[in-house]
Amino acid sequence: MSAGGGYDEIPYSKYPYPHTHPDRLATVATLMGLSPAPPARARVLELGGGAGGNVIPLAYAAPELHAVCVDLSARAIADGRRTAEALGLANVELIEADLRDLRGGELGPFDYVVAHGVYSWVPGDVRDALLEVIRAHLAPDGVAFVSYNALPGGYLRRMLRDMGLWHARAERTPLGRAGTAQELFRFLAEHRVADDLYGRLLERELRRVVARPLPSLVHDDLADDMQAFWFADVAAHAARHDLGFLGEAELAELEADRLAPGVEEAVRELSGGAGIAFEQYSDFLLGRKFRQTLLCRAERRVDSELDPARMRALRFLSSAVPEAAPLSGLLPRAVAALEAVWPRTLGFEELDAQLDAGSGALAAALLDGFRAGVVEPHVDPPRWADRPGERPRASALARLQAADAIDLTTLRHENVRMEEPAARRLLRLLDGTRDRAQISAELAAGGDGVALGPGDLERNLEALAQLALLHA
Amino acid sequence: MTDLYETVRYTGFPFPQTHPERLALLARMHGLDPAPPERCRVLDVGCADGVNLLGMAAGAPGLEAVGIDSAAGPLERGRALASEAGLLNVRLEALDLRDAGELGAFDYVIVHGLYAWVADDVRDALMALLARCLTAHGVAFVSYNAQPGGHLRTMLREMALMHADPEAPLDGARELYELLAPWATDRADAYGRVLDHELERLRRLKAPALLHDDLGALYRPVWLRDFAAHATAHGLQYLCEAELSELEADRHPEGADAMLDRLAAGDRVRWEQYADFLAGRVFRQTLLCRAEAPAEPGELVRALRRGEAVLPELPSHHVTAPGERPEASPLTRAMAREGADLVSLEHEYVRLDDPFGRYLLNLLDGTRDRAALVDALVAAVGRDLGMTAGERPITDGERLRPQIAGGLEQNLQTLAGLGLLRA
Repeated sequence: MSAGGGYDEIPYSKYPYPHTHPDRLATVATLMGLSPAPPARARVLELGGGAGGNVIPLAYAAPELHAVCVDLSARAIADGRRTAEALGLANVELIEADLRDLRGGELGPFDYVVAHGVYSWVPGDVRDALLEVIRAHLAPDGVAFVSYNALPGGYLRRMLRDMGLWHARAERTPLGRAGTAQELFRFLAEHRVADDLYGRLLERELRRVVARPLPSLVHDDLADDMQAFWFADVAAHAARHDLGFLGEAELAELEADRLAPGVEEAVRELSGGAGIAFEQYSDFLLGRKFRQTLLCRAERRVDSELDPARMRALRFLSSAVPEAAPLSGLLPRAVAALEAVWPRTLGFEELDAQLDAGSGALAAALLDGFRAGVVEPHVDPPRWADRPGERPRASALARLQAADAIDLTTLRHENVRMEEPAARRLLRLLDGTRDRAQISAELAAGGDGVALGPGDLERNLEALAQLALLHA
Repeated sequence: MTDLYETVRYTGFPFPQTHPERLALLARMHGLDPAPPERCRVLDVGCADGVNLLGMAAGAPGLEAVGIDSAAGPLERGRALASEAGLLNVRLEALDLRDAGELGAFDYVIVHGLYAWVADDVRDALMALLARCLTAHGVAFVSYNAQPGGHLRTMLREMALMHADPEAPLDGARELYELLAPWATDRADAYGRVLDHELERLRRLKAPALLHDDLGALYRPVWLRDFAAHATAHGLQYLCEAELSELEADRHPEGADAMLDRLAAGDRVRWEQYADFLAGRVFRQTLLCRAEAPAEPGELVRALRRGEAVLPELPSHHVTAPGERPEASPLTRAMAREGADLVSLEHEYVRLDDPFGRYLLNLLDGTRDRAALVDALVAAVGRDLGMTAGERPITDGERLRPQIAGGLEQNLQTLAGLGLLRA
């Protein structure tokens, strides 16, 4: 954000970020005892949202939602406006502005405010402005999402960043620096001293940066202002701006990033219960390097713990293969039942009736599943089709993206890469006007003439439904 | 920092890697013609109680040692020890290095454990001091916490200071280490292992070292390239590392050296910097010399790197078999009268907990043969030397004469083995 020029020079990714989705924010807020606004009709503000790659899909998928995207880069805003226009969206605004000019709440109140990839990558005054802007725009029951690089893990990233930048010191352009830095990362990956501690640490960190696209290296790992923070310091910073800690958008980044049973109790004892101290001590033990923290107005009373009983108000989705993670108790059965109906969700009552194991036990199991990252709770029912209809209609956004790119946004607000040109051609035909015979005929008539038999076509349409690319 | 040294007793140690003999050897191997170690001027900046200099001065009467430190207490102890040991070639001065004017020319300057723990103005003053006082072929030894490994230690440091009272962090820090340790051991991933490794190191550190090294007011690890650039800005240059074994081949995995050669393109600082990337270096002991000195790795250094030579040996100063009238140095004897911390003739730290051994050591002034030693020990029992039989103190040494005489040779052998006896 600090370097508008830098952002104009290198296009940043236009990906959606599922953990910033208002439904996810509402889910955590609900579990913590707040009454968040219904996500599908909410007002959503994204700060530093680039070309709207994150809010345009929200606006597209929920016509009653109103989204505003603010960014410093004129080029990004212009790009985003073109996309919104092409989709005929009236419920999304893209505004070129400096955060420091929005401290008075100029844009009005919002139910959800998202700042993804801003906090750690701007100078101190902008970081202050960011929290001020969030507080000024946050509705009384509003939820804010702030992501940042966290310590202690940030030190490990910092190590690689310093090395990379020094190696690339002769390069004059950001992309040139990124390319040369990546060359060093490859060298280190190849030659790290096998099996010693530091070597293993390098391996863990290098895995991420050796293959990262150069523009993300420029904007993230190698960014001028990149700074990592201790969670406790971020929480204190938020408190100074009358913002309180609500929870995390993602409870566990990886399976390995969870405290082992027994340890959690010990850390809880050390920190006097859940809350900020607990989170901070957990980070000490886990080596956390990234956080997606949810904030609310400081005067909001929130529970200190996620309350399993509140699971009853939610719907659930799971695509986890139960064998992939060691699950225990009722959870494997719940995951299996959810997996069987993917990409449909099941309400708590439905699942309870199916498993018949007691609603208290189910609520606890589902919360465990959420913590372990194998169950995805939702507030709203899904808007995607679980199977292709008579005249299948794919997301107009995805169809637009498929015209000249391989990265597509699903209706679940995820990014999928579709490298096969024929697959994208099929997707583009699905505008809801064609039945299967017409689809087959037009596919075959295309330049590269793809002939699909009825069985193959059906399988491919079902695959698109599984990816949550088709409208109900 | 000054406060810390005043309140925490920081027992001085000899640092063999700073000894002029070692520095001279390395300098010669890298193209310089340094002053002979037995007749040179040595400056130790931040010398604490000066034990490091005392050890050097005791071994070479022609060596002139000057130590400066801003904390007066330890210096006082050092001066008392020097006078006890009859050392006339050591001067210890309470002086902030920022105020050090002309201290004269020095062939060897030692700055151990300072650079990474002070602010920029002190660092600048230090480099300026080196530039002022190093002789044409003089060598400076400067140690510091290095990057990238410093990031890992900073991580643990900040955790400890967050948990503890920053004004008096020792107890809180140790409490946190104990709390984290059992859980860190359970984690199999890379982060957990690093945590485990660092905690093990921190839990073993003694209070003064912990307070000074890891929990001090400033903790500023440095990249070698920045350190070298700082030296260059003051008319100095990188010479080599103080650790002899670093000159040997096989420090890196197969193929890495060739890549390092390519990356460094003939620049030795760059070569070392990339090597630090690979190894995760946490600490450096770098030798500097004047920018105009002809520093260049000689044939022996090149042969060592190819694995075609062995490391040269340093001269030895102690005897392995006690002579007819065994002799320890006056410094060793003075230290033995004070406590268990000793400096060997090889300039190494030795701890001798046994009071009987220390008493014997003090007797070894080169005038006594074995019979005289036995007599002196027997006479000391019950007076200078408390001995007990079971619970009861023994007052009559004669009762112990057979044991004392019988064990003498073994005891002398032990002292010789510790490098405490000279020819």
